[in-house]
Amino acid sequence: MAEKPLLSRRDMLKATAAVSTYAAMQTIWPSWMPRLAFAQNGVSGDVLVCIFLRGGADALNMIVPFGDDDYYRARATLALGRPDSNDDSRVLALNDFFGLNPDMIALYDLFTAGHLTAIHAVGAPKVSRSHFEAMDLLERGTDGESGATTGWLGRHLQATSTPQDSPLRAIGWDEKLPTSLRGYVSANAFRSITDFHLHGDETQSDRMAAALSTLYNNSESPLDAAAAATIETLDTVGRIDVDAYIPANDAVYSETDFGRALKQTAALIKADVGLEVSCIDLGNFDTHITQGVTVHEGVGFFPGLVTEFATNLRAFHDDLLNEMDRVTVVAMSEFGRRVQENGAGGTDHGHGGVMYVMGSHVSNTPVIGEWPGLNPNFLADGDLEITTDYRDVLGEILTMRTEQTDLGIVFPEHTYRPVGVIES
Amino acid sequence: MNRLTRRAFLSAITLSAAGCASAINSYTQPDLPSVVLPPTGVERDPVAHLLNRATYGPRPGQIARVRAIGRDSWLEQQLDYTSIDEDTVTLRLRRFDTLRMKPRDLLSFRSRADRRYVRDELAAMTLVRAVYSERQLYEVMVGFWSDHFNIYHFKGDTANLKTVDDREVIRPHALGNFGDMLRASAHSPAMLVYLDNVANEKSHPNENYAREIMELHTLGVDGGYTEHDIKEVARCFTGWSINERGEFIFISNWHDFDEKRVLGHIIRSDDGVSDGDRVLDILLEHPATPRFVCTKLVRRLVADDPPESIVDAAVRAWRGNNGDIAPVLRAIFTHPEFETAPPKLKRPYELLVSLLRVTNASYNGDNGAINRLDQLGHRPFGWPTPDGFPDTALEWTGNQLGRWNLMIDAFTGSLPGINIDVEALADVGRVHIDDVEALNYFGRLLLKRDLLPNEVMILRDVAETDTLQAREVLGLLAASPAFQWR
Repeated sequence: MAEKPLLSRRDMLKATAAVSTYAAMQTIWPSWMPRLAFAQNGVSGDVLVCIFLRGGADALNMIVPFGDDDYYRARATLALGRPDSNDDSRVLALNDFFGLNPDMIALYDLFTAGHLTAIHAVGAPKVSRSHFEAMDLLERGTDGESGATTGWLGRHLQATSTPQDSPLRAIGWDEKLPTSLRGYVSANAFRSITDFHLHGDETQSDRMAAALSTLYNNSESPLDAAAAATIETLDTVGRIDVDAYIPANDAVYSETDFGRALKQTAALIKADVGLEVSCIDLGNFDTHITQGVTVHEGVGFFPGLVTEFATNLRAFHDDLLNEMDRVTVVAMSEFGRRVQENGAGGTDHGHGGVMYVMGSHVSNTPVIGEWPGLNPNFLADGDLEITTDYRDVLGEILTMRTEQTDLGIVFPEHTYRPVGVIES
Repeated sequence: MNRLTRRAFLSAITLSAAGCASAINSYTQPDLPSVVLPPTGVERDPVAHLLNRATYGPRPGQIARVRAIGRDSWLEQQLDYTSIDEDTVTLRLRRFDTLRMKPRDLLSFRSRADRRYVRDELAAMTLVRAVYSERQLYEVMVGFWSDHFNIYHFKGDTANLKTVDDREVIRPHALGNFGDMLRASAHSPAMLVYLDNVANEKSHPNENYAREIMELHTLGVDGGYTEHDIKEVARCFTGWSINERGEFIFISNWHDFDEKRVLGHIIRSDDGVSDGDRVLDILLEHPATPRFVCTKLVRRLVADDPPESIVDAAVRAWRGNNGDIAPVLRAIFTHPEFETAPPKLKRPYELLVSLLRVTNASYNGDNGAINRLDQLGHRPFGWPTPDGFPDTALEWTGNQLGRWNLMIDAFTGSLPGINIDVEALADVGRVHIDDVEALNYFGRLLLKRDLLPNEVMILRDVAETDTLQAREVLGLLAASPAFQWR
């Protein structure tokens, strides 16, 4: 130590098997790939990727009930064609009743191969047509204004946290923490993993990290373990060259916030940094005016949004083809839209919507859920009725694919009934 | 005055005040003593220990001053807080529009941006007071009670009304009497909104407040009440609500006038509103209340695992003085076992405030610091659930990187509104910023002890690199394990 106590950061890192093998593996790994700094922190559940389609996505024009004639009566200008029609907007049949929006064709194979399932007529029992209130309810996982003020994922993470948790256990890809993650004090909020770095002189951050590593080595405080994990994660993340990252299987992500968040999530999953929850937003789906039907027509912004959703979800699946047995993606929106289109070529706020669950372990049934029908006599205030509580979908994922053993903590006001989205 | 006019009026004031704000800030910035001699040796300095628990952290030179007058005299001064001059803080708070605003006017801030403005002002005022007030024990207690009677700033009108709760519930009673504070809290519009008592009516009772007042404010979860007691307490509070001006009202039509039975007591009043008052009396007379609250106090001020003997002494002081808070604090801080209390982890807010105080930093009320605390999960009034921010080390060990960056950014001038004058500190320590001796001086200033040989070695080695600035090395010192504890 006398001549040069702080030779390099790596000397100061806790010895791991990976350090000795790193040099040998460096040559065969892609350049963006960090060394496997540490085992997965004992994480044995899936990585949950939670996508929120903000603004109220029009479920009826994503997973289209072409078998329901009332759909065509309610959507005089916005309806997508039946699969057997010659219409340019004809849907891709998922079964004899539901079809996939053709702009979401990237997901069609995943539906038919049993890697992706949609739950229709799903949502929160409490009706709210306020975006803010409805998102808040779903993200908190509660029935009403009163009740838990933390988020469902926050409670899930807090209840299953251990002193060995990774510093990158939970990420919301935004400047502010999403409501769903509130209640877990160690959740991260950033737009890019490049924000996970030590501040100060950039050229000296390795030395600064090494100094902190040594200071926290045997300081005999309960912070030592957390500090060591942080130093290792900094090191790993520092080696992930986001620009040089080449997704597997020719997957192509969009150069958008949504695409970048999914791409970086994929990189972190491959890098084994202990990620357990990744929250990503896509929006704005608030299509009151000139919603548009398909990209082909070049009108409205709904077609572009569903295309971005589908192509990036597909890219994520292709990129992580070998990892999808330990990843579950779930996508939802705060509500669906009114069944009857409005006079401005758009749709107003409704109630029942659709959720998506992706992973190699999901149900082989492409569309799940009891269909309440679109007959105006059966509608609830003009809205698609809810036949599945969204908490049953989320609860099933937590129960079947994570370490969560107490759904009463996550959804305190709800009695869980499995829906069958996960193959048992 | 209609709303538009009032806002225009306010922004006019803000514009004219903007120039004076910086003048006031520099005028009220405390001077450093001519010489600062922080404690030496490796033992924990007993005065530093007291100041670490009874304040948000000692200022430069404060340990010597407290030692000169004696710990007991200093504690008595702090308990008699109104005798401590507060003029400089008062001047600093003048720039905040909402400081004295009536509930009705606060409620007129309705848009999301408006509400953010009100929230940010209260959070920033809280930080200004914690950093600058000489009434430190009082501010520490304001922080404690704000957690005990937690109100989340992001639930509807609480954004507006928490400002009133801070002014009329927490601050008047923080070193007063617990019963007075509990009664004020039960009538607090922000609390009535936050715990849904505004929706508590006979036809569909809301039990939220009834549950939390027993579980979290008084008896504790093991305090001996039943689910039936919760239902009965909820009935007693039916009709306790607020009007459109943000004031407490009793809505007689909503009240359940039938007889109730709470913890064995029969409650039935003619006027209805006294039912709730009777509940408060019952809870205040119940032996579980002082034990529960004193255990939390000892956890905050002494140790994560509160020593039974100190809790016992605190409870005796509570009982002998009918719930007055000052005697309870005296019993805690003068208890022999207080001296051997294990370290408490600084939560992010405490970490920041202690750094600003120990370095005589300036803070001008900018939101940047508040937003950073938000990222660290410790924004003032930002805890969602009614139990208040967690208070044990285990719950705060995550996000080390965020804590380190907070310290580095504070020293390198990267936190908006915060400035640490490193050169001025070096001057009063009679050291030159680039000398090795400066490291030892700053070490003693921050840690109140000599740096250990390995700390010196590690930091000196970093300091000797070509491009690293002294400020970054000091950031690492503040990020080191020893400064994380109080």
